[in-house]
Amino acid sequence: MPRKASPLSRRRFIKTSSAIVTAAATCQIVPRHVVGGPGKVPPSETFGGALIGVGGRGPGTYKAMCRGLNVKQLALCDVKFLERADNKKIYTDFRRVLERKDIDLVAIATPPHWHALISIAAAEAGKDVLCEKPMTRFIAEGRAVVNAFKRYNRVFQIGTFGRFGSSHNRGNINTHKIMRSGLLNPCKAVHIKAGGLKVKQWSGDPGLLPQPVPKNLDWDFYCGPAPLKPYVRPRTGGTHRGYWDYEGGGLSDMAQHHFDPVQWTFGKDDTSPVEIEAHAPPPHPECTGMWGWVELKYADGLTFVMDSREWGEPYSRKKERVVSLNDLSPSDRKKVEAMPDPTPLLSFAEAVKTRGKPGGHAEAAHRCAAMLHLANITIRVRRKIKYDPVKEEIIGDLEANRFVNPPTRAPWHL
Amino acid sequence: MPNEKVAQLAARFRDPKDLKRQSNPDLKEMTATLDELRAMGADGVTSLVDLLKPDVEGGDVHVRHILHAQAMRASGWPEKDRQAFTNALVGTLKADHPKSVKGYVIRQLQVAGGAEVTGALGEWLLDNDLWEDAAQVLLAIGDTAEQFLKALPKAKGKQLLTIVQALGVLKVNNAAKRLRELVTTEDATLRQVAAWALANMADAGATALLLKAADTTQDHERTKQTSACLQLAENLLALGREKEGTLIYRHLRDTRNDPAEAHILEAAKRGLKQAG
Repeated sequence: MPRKASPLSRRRFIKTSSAIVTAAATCQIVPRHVVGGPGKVPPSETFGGALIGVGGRGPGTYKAMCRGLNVKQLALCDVKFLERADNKKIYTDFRRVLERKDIDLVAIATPPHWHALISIAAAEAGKDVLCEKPMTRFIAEGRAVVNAFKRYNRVFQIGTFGRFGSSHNRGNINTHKIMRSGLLNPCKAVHIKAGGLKVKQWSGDPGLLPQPVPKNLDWDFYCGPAPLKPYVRPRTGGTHRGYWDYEGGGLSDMAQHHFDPVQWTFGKDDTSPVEIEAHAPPPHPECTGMWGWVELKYADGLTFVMDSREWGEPYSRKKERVVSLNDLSPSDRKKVEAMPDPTPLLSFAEAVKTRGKPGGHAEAAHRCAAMLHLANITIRVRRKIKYDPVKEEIIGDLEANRFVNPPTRAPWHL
Repeated sequence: MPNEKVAQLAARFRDPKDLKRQSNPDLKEMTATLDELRAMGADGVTSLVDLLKPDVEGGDVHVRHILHAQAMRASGWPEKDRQAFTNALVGTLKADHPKSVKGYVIRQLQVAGGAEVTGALGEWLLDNDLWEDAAQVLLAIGDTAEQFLKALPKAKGKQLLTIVQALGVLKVNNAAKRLRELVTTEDATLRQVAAWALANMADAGATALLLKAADTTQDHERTKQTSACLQLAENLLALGREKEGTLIYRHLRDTRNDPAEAHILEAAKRGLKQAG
């Protein structure tokens, strides 16, 4: 059958092709959503990327997000860009960044008190996220992030990657299988992380007098959901880690690195400890400070210990103990040996391309962050707490439970 | 002379040279100090508050620390002892202290306060300096709708925003009528918070209003208003109100055709599927 001549006139052709050339000149990225829907492989493999929170870990987080992907950086956003923001590539307000339809991927490296709210806003805007650790500032934020990424079916990966290496280790795989089999109960395993939690390094400086806010910094926006306190320089620029308003000291900063791989190994990505006890001196109201150790026990008996080695006597209540097939009866051992190995963890890049769940997905990251938040709550209230990992509430202690979901400053809310 | 005694207790609570890095707190010494303070009862608390200084003045870091440490301990005391502590603390708000001192006192009630202090705290919801502190403490304590509803009619600007958000957090359906009015106010931030509050309290009566807001706004506000719609649908379904919940999902399914909103379309489809 002969083909019909195209009705396209020369004039219309020129107009159309000019528009294409103009579009190509002004925006070389074809947004992923234009060319690929759910389940479709987009013809353009170039992604538009944004970095929100450019200081400190910002460049590293962005680089981690781009690994294995072709990403063009389209936006940089930071509340300290007041004097140089052009709202074209440089922004102070993350909301303006997320409005851009040509941005597909967002790396978040602000202080942690902003992680959850920006992650949720990104998911609402249809973006995939790689978020620096710790995932959150308090427990309820983590659940809200999990729900948002589930609702919008977006990809979330936490910015710590130790579990990817751990999940290739044969011993860890065996432990993972034993734990996930549910055949080892009670579990007598004890994992102790001694040192490396940067307690002194990330303790705050109490009692500083208010200072003038730098001209380039939007201080109100910096505080965001956290209480609006008088500006003092250490509340920003990395030393924010030493203030309860924004993070939770070296414990929050480092424990997600140390315990995220262990949480995978012991098969606890979908639950939390049920009993938490700490040894610590009375806390300062604003600054994180010293603590000795924290013991976190799961429902099956598995115990994790954070031993600071920076205050008081070293932890000595339990000894390190691993899990092995010898802990099982011969018949149970056979059952575990017959179990298939766990599915290899997807990288962020693989998850973005396949719309799968990455290895450091929101639920796993939330459970690990909840672990360190529970540790800090116990350090602050200085009494043993019991936690319901399903309801995600502290049991029988109303006052301690207030740290699980503390109020946020309007208009910022979960 | 409670003031002198309390000043001594505060001074020995921590070695000043250790302040910067809190390197070597002596737990035994600190615990003994807190015990002595507790034995002084309400006098100890009011005397400690007398020693607090405004933020701009400083020099009271020990006082702040010991008061907070005691508030943390009090949160675990028997109810009668805890209330004695918080009543003494809230009583100092009537004294002529600087606003930043009162703010610090209020924040300690977030740790240890209960129903016994909510009435007094409600009085500060319209204060130009302390409304946020008061609101956060009342939210932390919970079951405080009465205080926010009382403040709502007179609240303006940022105070109104804070109160609207609080009513959403507490799911105060009695406030729905006023919140619906605010979904169409000229203040975009207030509109979004009001819509979220209505969604959070599962106010079925706001369905048409929220869908209209989601359809007619642009950019970030459209995203947030759409999020409120999805949240309302989820909350209605959780209450067994399938008809109203699916109405929202159907609307979003039928109207979100822009590829940039494909994730909304998919979320609506998933919602419909889950609703059966």
